[in-house]
Amino acid sequence: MSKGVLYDANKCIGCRACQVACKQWNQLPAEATTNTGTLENPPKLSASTFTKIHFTEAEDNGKFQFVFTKLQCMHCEHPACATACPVAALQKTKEGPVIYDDNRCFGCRYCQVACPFGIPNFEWDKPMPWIRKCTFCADRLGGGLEPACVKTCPTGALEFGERDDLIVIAKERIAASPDKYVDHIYGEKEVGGLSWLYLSPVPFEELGFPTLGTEPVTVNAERAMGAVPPVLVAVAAIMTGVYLVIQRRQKMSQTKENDKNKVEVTK
Amino acid sequence: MLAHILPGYLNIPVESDADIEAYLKRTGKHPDATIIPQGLAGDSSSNWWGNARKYIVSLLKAWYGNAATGDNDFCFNYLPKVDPKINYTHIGMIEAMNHGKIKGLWVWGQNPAVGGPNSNGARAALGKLDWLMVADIWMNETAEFWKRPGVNPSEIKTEVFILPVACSYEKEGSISNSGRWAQWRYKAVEPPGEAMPDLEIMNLVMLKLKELYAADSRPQAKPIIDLNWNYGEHITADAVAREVNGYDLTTGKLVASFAALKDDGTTTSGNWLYCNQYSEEEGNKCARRGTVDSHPRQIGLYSNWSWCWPLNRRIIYNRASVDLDGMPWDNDHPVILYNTAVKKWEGDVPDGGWPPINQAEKGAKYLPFIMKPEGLSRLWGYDLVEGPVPEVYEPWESPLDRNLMSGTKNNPCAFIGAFMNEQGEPDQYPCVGTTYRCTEHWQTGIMTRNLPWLVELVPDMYVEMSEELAAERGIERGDKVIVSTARGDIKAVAVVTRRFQPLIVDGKTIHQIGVLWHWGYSGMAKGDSGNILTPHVGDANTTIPEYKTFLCNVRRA
Ligand code: SF4
Ligand code: SF4
Repeated sequence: MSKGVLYDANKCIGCRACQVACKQWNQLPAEATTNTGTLENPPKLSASTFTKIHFTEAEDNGKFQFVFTKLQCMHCEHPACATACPVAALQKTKEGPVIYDDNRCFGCRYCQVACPFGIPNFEWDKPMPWIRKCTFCADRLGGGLEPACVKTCPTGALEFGERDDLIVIAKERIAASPDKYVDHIYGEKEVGGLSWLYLSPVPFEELGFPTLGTEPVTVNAERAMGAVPPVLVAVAAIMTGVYLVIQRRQKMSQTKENDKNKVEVTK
Repeated sequence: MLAHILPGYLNIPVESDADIEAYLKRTGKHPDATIIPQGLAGDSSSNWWGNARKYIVSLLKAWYGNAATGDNDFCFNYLPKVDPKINYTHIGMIEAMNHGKIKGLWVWGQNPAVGGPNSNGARAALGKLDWLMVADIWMNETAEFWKRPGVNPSEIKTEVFILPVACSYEKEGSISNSGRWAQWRYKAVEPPGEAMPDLEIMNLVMLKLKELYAADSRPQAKPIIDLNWNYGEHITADAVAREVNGYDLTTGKLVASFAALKDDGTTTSGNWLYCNQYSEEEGNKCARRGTVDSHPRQIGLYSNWSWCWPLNRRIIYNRASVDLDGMPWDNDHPVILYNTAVKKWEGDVPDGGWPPINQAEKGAKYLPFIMKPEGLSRLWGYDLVEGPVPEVYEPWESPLDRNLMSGTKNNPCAFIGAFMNEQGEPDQYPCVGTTYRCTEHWQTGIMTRNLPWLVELVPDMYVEMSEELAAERGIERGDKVIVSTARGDIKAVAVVTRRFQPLIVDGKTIHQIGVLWHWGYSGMAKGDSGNILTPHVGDANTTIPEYKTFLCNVRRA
């Protein structure tokens, strides 16, 4: 059985302890931010921010609501990124996490284009850039621990468990308080199901969630290129080229020490 | 903050307290104060404060050791005595500094240049000191007040000493929470650089003071010379914990309970309420980590986790939770219950071990509120200066010209500061300001504004306001704005939100501005301090500052 996390926006208080816990566990640096007139920061997910809380001032049937949403990789049951990746650097594990292998990735970033949630981020500012995203704390799960963000959540807004069990819990919650929840578990069916499931007091479109079908998104490398706007393909292709050149140049100047640590997969 | 008490809620002596007897009489902590209420089921009041002589004598024995004897009233006259007419709380202290009455100030882990009201006044008052010592884990605004923006350091004569201290993970000791548990913490890592635990700094300073005063024959040197201070070069929190618990001087053993304290000078205790935290049999009970709830009905007391003052009693006044037969009023959440078969209380440590009123002998039917002379709770505290019944007043700065609920507009007993404390009028300052915290920053921000992960979340000083007010002033979300009061101006980012709504009061629209107060000119994330706006106004009884309401205005920067 596969693990999942249930996020309940009705229980979340927007404390963002999960954001900090994620940075702490994954040793991610702080971003230089400024207040742009909201309580939200950093402005978006990035290679050094795997998760963030998005704040929405929503209007629901004339009732004002301040609603929070946790953003991170959804760890799809049938991840589009994995199907798009030509070198299988991204893989869905049977335990739940969609994991990424630095050693396989050659930097094409098709996964970025394929992901229906726009999750994978590229370390543009690094000399040796890789794709970065929420790992579902696969390293913690492997040791029998729950994800760092779940562990730190003070309210129970994040719940870790068997995905099937979480769906039952979510259904019970909606049934017990139909006036508090919209009758929709986001992630139960979207693109064939997500490991991360969501409950909300307002329709998910209002929180910025994409409206998606129930069919898994399968994108092979060629289709990835065909399905996305040509300009993106062109940018991606150029950046891939740039990346490969950069990578080769760096490889030449790399110490033997570094070479030992990296398995060459691009040849 | 707690300028009115010594450890264990013993009152601070005043000038007219000639001796312990007079002191106890004046403060009502005397057996004479006992009142037996008539016509009640209970016929006795324990008036526990009637034991206060044992506690003050044991405290003086702990502090002055062999020098404290029955003949010299246990050195009672070594204690500092206050003038009841002077306000010694935070606001009073800042004003006294301004008047040159305070020459030197020790600031331990506090940041009055940001944390108190009327920050501009507090910063100016720091400049009147001869010397200032700041002990903190970070460089803070109080330590750097002399080079704050807008001042010329060469014009400030205050000599500033900065002592880096260990943070809680870098030292051993106990921490008491508001549920009264004293929990022991261990040192995890060494403090960085020259930082030291505050306890060690105090020890070194005291040893030096004793050396400096050793040959001084003036009477004011006596309390320092006679101070019982024998921790050696390296003081430990463990030694202090034992001393706070107290000893029986006839046996040299730790006292087991405050019931064992005596008023004849044969016992010591640094704080009678902490007697029992350290015992000969069990050692340091604050370090206990029992995770089993031993309460017979499992109400979640966890009495073997750490230790709780007094006597590990987790819920005080628990005898008020039972009826006259000792049975809980709330059977689902019984704190204590009386087992008639074995004639014993079960559950939490009872507030006085006497049997329940119906089971007790005549003349020993003790009423439950043991710290009150009459043994009863009070619907109003008749010792409040503006009591006995609570009243609603308009704040010192109010947009209204009258009190809509009663005839008197302002609290006639409130403490109103005189120093740099200009009062604004609604025609110039039509908005109501209030201050509060965000989740990500803590107090004056010095512990959080230096942590990159928290600064990333909340980088800048901001204020919150309604869409209506923003529209009136041409302010857009994210604009820099100036919030002004009669006492000062601050710059902040505007967070325009529907969470703020204009208030309609007496038919008038009044706008409210929410002001965060965690910022200052020190540390990694800098910004203006919200308390530049707040007035020197204090609660009539405690002088707790009126941070929560003042008049202000806002405009685009
Ligand atoms: S599961 Fe781990 S990596 Fe993903 S958001 Fe939570 S803490 Fe971050
Ligand atoms: S830690 Fe929990 S409550 Fe806090 S923001 Fe994250 S999900 Fe919400």
